[in-house]
Amino acid sequence: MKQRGLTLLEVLISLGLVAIALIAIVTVFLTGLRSTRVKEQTAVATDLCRQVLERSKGLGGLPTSTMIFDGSVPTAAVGGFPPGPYPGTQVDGQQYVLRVDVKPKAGEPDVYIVHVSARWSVHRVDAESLMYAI
Amino acid sequence: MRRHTRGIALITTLLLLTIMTMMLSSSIIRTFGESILGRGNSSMTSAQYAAESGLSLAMSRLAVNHAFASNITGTMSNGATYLVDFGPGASVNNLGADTAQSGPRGPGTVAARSAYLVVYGRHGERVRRIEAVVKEGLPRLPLRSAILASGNITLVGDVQIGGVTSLEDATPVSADLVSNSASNQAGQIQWIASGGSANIDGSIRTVSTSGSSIQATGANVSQGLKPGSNSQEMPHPDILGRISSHSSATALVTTPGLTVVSSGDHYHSGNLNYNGDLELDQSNLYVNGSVNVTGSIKGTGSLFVAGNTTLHGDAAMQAAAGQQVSLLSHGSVSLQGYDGSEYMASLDPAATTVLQTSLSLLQTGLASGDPSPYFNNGIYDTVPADIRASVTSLRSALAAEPASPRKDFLNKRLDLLSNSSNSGMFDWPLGGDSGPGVKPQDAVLDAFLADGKSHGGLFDAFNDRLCQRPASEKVAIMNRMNQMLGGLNYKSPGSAVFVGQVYTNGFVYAENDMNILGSLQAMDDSSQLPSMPDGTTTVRPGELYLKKRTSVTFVQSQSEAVGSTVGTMALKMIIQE
Repeated sequence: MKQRGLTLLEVLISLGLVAIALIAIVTVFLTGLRSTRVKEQTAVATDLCRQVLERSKGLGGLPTSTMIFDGSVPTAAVGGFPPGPYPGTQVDGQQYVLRVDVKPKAGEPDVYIVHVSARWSVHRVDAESLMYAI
Repeated sequence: MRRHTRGIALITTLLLLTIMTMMLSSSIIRTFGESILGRGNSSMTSAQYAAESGLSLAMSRLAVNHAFASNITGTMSNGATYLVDFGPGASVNNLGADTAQSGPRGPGTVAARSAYLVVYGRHGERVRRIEAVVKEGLPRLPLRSAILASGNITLVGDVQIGGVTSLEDATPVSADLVSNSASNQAGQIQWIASGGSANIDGSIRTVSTSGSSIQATGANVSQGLKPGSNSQEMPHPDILGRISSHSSATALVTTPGLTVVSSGDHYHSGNLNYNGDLELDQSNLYVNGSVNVTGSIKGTGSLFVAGNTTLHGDAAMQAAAGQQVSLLSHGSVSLQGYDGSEYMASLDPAATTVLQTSLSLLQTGLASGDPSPYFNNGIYDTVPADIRASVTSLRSALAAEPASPRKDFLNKRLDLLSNSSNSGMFDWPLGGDSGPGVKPQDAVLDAFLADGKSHGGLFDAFNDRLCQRPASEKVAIMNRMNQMLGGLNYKSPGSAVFVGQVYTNGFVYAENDMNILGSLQAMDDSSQLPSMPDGTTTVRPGELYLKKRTSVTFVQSQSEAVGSTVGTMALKMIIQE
């Protein structure tokens, strides 16, 4: 009898410990999965920003005054600027919206600040570069 | 046996827990590692853009000051920093030297007339280093006037001089005629009426102080005659040097009828006599000889000519990015139209009048800024039909005429308006469709907004879809449309159009319905000789001679941007480490 009681207690303790461990593992896995998904989306968004910046370098010129191109409107491109993937695109079922701000850098002839942000869900990624455009 | 199995459940559980803890740890470590990797990549990208930002600033400062050789530091909005390093063993500015110099890559590695830049970008722990070679780009023409000459300026017959802010913005700006000559010669700038009229929306200026140096009696000059003015800065681009330095560029290959010069630099040794249309596709063409093109020159790019340049017909060039120049000719420039308007009027006066009136009506409507009164059976509906009818009538009259370059030119001009393929800008191939949603007409308007060129059914699209566009686009579309019609010149619908800036060390001669959108500069450098482009009139280097319905519309946006007084910088090579 004594031996049986101890085994039952062991089993209960064991079940409790296993349950706690399982909950912790599942939680960590789910969090990890979500985190991985967001990281993948961040990489995609960063690449979209990069594409806009790189393609802007190849254009004939940039807007010479301060302008905001909001892909959620979307504001129409002027003279090919901003280039694609502006105003946005869908990758792996996720919609990304781009916004491009351009303004001359004060005191620096022909230098423009080009700021690109990609938004999706509640997340956002930014990239910025100064460009010498003439 | 039972004694031996006592506690086995707890032991097994503890073993399981150990395994699960290891799995948990590994999962946490992996997630954490991915986070670090992701942040590292993001930081590296930020560092890269910071370094490129530093390079952009260095190029800007070198463009303004060729002797610039100081460190540049700065911080981006995300905290990334950049450093253009001019310290020992780093960047070398060799722009002012004719011989190579030692650089970070070893002795003699910084070529003459170039700068070797070493730039660092840093974000967090990540550092990006780039090395770049930059050289002087194309010159800028510090232009403040429609016409600038070092010698005399002569206008004959009907002449129109005006200015607009840009090809997209028809807001008028002053368009001056300026001579830097201080010769005090009587009639240094003169208008010879010859039965025509002259309208100059600006001033006539000369450095000469004598009142008789400007003779323009009867001309309408909005801002008056101004002898004794200050001279205007005239650039001295080394045209021959630039042509010579591009002798190893891709050789130009022409094809009958139409030659598209692909992007990049192209070189032609000897004279270029071409009977056809030359299209520059973001390209620069260097000709070590004279150029004679019978047809059109269009597209985007610049033409450098060592000898004389003669263009017959349309030339719609636009300077490429960073290039404030369309045509740089060491020798004289002759722009010759086909006298098409007079010819057209003689063939079919009634249709010509309808065409002129219709184009004028459209320009009035577009210039009003409010399109609404002109829709719904207003002029935007009815006038295109009148234009199509007059084009059909004119084409019939033209068909009976003997073959000639002028006939070809006018047929092309009429085709632009309306043609048998139903693809002219006033043809109506898209039908009426003004409802909501995206329509084929929207694609036509999108293309027009992107390139500002004529497209088949353009006016159909304009008529049907303008009201569906955001307010800012409406204005842009109307301005561009108005500018395009201005280029067609409703008073002389048979005129040829040249779009761009012209700079020459010889003279500029234009005649026969030549409509110039841009500016003209003639700078005598004593390398050229006088000539008689029309066989009777002697024109000297540094002079401008415009006659027989020539118009010049100064396009302010094509002139110098604020800032650089030296020129531009061009990136030749970049090494990413």
